[in-house]
Amino acid sequence: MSSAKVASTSNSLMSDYFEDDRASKDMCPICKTDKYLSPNMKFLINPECYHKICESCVDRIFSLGPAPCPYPNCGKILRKNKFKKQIFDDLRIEREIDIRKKVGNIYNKTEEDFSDLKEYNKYLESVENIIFNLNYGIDVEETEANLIKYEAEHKIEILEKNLNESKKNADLAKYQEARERLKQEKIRIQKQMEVEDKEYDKQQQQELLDKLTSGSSANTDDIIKQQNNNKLLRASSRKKKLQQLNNQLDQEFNKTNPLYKHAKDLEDSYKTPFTPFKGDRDLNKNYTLLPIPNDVDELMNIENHIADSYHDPYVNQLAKNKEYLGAGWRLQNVFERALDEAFIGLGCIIEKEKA
Amino acid sequence: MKESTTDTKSSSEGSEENPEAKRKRISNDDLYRRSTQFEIWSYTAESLEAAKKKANAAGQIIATKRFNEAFAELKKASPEVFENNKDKLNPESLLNLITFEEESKYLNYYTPNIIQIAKFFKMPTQVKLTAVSFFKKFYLENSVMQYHPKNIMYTCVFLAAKSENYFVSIESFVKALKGTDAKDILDLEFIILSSLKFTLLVHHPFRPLYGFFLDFQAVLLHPSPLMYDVSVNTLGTLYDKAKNWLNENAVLSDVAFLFTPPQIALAAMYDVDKRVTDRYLKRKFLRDHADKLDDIKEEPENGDVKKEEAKVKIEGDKNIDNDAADSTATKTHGETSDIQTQREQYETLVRTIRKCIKVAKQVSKSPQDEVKEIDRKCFFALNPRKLIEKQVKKIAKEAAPSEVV
Repeated sequence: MSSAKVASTSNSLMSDYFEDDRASKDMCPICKTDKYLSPNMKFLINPECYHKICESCVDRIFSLGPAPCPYPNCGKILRKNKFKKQIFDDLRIEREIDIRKKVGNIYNKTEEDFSDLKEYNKYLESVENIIFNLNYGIDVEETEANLIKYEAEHKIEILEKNLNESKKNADLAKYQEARERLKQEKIRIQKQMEVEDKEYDKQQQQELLDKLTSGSSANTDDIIKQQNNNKLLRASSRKKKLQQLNNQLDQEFNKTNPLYKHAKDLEDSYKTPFTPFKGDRDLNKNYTLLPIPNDVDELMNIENHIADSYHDPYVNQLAKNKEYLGAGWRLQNVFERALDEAFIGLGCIIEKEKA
Repeated sequence: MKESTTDTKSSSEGSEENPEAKRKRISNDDLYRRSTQFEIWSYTAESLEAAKKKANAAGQIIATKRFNEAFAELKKASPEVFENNKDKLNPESLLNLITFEEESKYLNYYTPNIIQIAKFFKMPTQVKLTAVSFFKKFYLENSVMQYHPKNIMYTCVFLAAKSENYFVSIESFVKALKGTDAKDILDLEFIILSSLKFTLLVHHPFRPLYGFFLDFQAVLLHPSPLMYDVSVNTLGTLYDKAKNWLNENAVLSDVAFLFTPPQIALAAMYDVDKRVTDRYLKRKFLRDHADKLDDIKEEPENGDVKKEEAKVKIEGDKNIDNDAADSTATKTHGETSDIQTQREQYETLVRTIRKCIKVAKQVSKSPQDEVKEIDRKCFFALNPRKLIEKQVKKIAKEAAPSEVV
């Protein structure tokens, strides 16, 4: 209902205001307050007519209940609770997003609801058409009526879908939260370990000094070497431990994660190599290739090497051409391509398959 | 026989006993089934006929509409002439549309011209074939009563040259064709493209033919010649003859809509030399069993079943474990069914090839005078105004002398 009116205010009328807006972008046209002078001022719009009004004016005019829009020649009845902050600078976009949201709430099917991609695309296109019509004021009444009719007819479906979606979103939120927690935990452990390491280093330093002052001065080098070795050993063991802890955390996280299975499936599907025809090619060729001379010496002296190979004087002669050779042209490719094509579609009996 | 089971198994596609076949493999034939040539441009004989008839019917409707508009316009301009000569100036007697048969003849007349044009520009065979293919496809979607074939023909050649990477600039192309403007051709380009549904890749039988020429060598000559009178040279002449056969028969006929390129190529070979080609096919598709089955024309499976039973009996007599006997029985059965499917494949292939030859040879040349008559009709179908004006003039002429007298 609302957007029927929106559309009827449609482009010509609105564009006047857009131009007006450009001139006094930062000034409320009602109370003439300027943003320059009162930087805290906020503009609000109402999706009935999309006229910009500053917050204090909205409070002042609409606090007592619905009132007409204060813009000259507009006069639409507006309610305070419908006012919202403008997100997009261009009001046309703002309006389209609103329409999109509204239609999207009704036409909320996803790809899973369709048997094949073609159907889904058809559906998407019909939705786009509705949005376009509403946005540009084409057959608004009819489209609007259809929309309402569709909503009434598919009420339960829409609700169900919404429920499912919100569940999914909740799962996702949970997942993200858990992930964040995991991250924090990891950071915490790492920090703790770093602190420990620092302390240990200090201690070692102290020990070293003690040793150097008290011990025999003969082989200070040896002592320092040993110390360094110890340090390295410890560092690697610490690293291992950190790794272990992280793994443990990851595992725990995955156990409790509701989306884990889904993610795993997805990962698996990435692991299987991509095949454009959804299956591996049948590698049995229908022919066995005769030996074909392929290295340069053989090719240069091809007459003596084709006894067992394919006989085609013309092509075999081409194989000797150095320019062709340099460019990567090979006899084998020529023969293979022809032979492949000879058996592609040989077994398709069109008469039967198209009947 | 038992030993050979493993060999035949790996080569037979999708037999159920084969565990490897459980995962579906994409065969070469499946690849062809995904091509637009198969998906959009392959027909059965009936559906091809239906498509042509549909195009003709649609053309007739459009031509009639055009005629009626022109008739009403002219009648408005000079109502008294039309009133006075109702018997000679009425839509029923004037309107003379091209029938389905006439349209086919007309198009058959034009197709060889495409090859002539392509030859004139010294275009490769590939371009010629693609141009013919475009032309034929265009008139499956449209009628000569919508677009006159002359310019369509030129545009098809121009377009085919571009799509087959043999570019001819529009200026030099038009220069060679008298009485045709660049605009005529460029305007039609998009119309043709959309009628083709933007499918520009055409698979022709010539490369498969070359492939078979190579495979004939591999199968019939290596490791040692199979037939005493077949050598590299005889195969070469067979190949050349087959190429000519394709040029003469296949290109102008509708086989490209009805059969796949390899089938057409084999048809050419088969029609040129049946003996050699049949030997090749048997050797290729019946594999090792070819020699055994060659003589058994009827009920090949009967003999095998008997053998199988006999085997089981013997083994049973020898007191071998029953299970083992069973397993051998199923094995031999699997093999016979393999042979059977091979046999079936071979037979359907030969049947298809024969059909292809028959269709390819059906094309008849359209007689010149008949085509001229159709051409006149086509002109008037496209320009009904001229037809009516001509009739009006004729009436005026007839009326004039009587007035003088």
